Amino acid sequence: MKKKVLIVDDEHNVRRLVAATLSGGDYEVLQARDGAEALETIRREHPTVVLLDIQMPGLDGVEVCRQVKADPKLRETVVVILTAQAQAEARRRAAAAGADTFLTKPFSPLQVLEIVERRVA
Amino acid sequence: MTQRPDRVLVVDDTPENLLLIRAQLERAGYAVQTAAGGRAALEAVAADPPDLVLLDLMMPGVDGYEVCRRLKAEEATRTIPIVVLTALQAREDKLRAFNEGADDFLTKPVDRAELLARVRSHLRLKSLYNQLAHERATLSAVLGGMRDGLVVIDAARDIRFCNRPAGELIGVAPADLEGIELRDVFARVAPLLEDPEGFRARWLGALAEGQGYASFEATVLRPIRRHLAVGVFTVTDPRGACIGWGTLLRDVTREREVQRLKDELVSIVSHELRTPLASIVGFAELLLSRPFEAGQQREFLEIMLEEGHRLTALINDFLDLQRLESGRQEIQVAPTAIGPVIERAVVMAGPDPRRPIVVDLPADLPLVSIDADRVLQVLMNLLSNARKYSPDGGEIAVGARIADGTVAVSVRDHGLGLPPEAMPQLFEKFYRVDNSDRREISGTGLGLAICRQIVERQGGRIWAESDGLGRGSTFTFTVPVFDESPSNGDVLVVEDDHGFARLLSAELNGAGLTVTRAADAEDAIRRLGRARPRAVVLDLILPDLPGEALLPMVRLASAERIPVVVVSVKELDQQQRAELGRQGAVAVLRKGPGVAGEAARTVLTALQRSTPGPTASGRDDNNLEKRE
Repeated sequence: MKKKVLIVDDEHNVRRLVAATLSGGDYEVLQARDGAEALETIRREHPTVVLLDIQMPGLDGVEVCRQVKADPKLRETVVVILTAQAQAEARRRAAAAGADTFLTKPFSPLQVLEIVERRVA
Repeated sequence: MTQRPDRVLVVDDTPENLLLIRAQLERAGYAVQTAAGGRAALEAVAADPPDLVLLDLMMPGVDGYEVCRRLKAEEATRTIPIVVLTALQAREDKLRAFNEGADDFLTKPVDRAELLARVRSHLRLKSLYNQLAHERATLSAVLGGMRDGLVVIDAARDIRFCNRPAGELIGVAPADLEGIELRDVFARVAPLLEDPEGFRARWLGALAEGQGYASFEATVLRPIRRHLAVGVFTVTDPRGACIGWGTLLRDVTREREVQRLKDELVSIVSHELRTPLASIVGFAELLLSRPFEAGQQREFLEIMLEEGHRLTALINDFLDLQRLESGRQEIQVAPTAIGPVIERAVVMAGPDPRRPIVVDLPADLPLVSIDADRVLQVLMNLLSNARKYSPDGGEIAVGARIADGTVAVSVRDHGLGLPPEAMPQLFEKFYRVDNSDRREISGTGLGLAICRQIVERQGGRIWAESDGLGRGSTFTFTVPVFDESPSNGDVLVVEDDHGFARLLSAELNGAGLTVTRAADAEDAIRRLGRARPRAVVLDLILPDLPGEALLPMVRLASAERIPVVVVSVKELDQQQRAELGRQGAVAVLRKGPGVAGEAARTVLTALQRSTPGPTASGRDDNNLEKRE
């Protein structure tokens, strides 16, 4: 069965970029446009890796991460934060919420690919 | 500076004594006044306080003891030294006199040398005392006048001084602090502080550091939340030993807030720049990393281009807004018909069959004072928003109406609408309505902030209305109706700066003159022919022509030689001024505070000079003045 990777971002082009990046590999790429949609998808689909933006309408990415990591059924999910918030404060908040990796925009799609490959392997 | 002689009041009921002492004192250079009894003495002191009083004790009526008591009881006379004269050797009487406030005594018959020695010595003490009191008053005035709070603690750690601002900053009356121990101060101040223990530790730490200066910051919660910069310095005696500490309290609330807003803006801008960059950099890297089929390559490149445009728009909007906010971007208003500007905006917005723009304007809209290019920008922005936020289509209606000396232009759509909570921040920069129905709609978040700047700079206002989500929104802005001044005016004001033209008009009206205004050279030439002004106030920097070029035309347009007052920001040298004079300028004024009033007075003077009868053209001012 293909491993599932979820990309959560309110920016269409960023979702497109991640989907295109992962398109060569053996993944099923899921997409969500905000925090609420992300949680719903994670609970339903149990993706292996979630690539998560922070600043989104409604529920923000850090909160999504915190809820995922607090849920015994979901806490194994690998959470990679992909954010345009470059301040140390965002990094601290993400770490406190249990995020596994933190990347700032603009990010390298190849690095994202490498992280996903390593985490899925 | 000549020294005023010290003045001595001698009080004695025996005329011979008065005469004798007066002679002795006057010979020594003192100015002497005499009083024959206690009552007269008190009156003399009240009328003109002397520097010293020589006072007999035994007098009928008000005696010396009473005079002592009364003088020492009054604030104004308390410091005048009193030397009592007594024939009595009795110890009791001397002690009683001292008790009533006497400073010294002389025994009768008075020895001349002793008299002069005592008087001199008391006057010296008095002068030292005055000097000290004066210095103390000065110091207290300086410390009280400081904006910063100052608290001084002595070596025993008691509070010795606290100025008024210090009391205000921490919400305690200075009198409540002076003289109390540091421990007790903490007890009193602690409830006002956000972090009393931290404050205490840092303050004591600063005191313990001993020499030099230490500083830290603290937050006061009451009477209002404030950030204080606290500086602690050591007070040393001339030998360098520490005799206390001074604590300076400075209110830095505003500075901190400005800094916070600046930091916040930087972080928002950083976020907004990084988002489109993520697509541009990301797709470029992806395209270089491995082959993609032609269709995909094209799609990626299109996204990169789109995001590149978005980045450019963001930078342009941001810089535009910065220039508007800082006032560096000039807004040049001129009388304009708003209808054609609206039509142009609609044409530029282009066709969109699902979101047609319908314009419905009243027939006789007055001219408005606007910067047409900038209003076009506002309209384009509102039309673009109306279409963007109408994903399901719908008609967009543009209307205008006259209200309170303004024309209100509105753009109404049938789109997503606005939640009530969005209203207060709608025109703030980078504010985006946070609702999932519009997450795919991109924008810089600066458009409405720019609109507001432009509208407000022209003296109007902008607002939004919506019946709620899904029910469309209406954006309305006002522009001032062009103040069509009478076509016949005494003075033609040629000035494109709306504000300054208004100021000038007010000053000229105040001087009893009527005003016609022109915002550019073309308008000025038209009005010169029609309005036949008696004087012209001319700006040199006009939108269409240099003001200098208008001078010969003023001369041509009128049979008489009408005075022209040039008012400009331009820095002119002697030669340029002379040239303007030859062209007919009676005065050249530099724009600055108060210049509107000066220009009005100059115009009035020039008109008064030329009023008696119409003056023949070609005559120069010198001839005119000789004739008068």
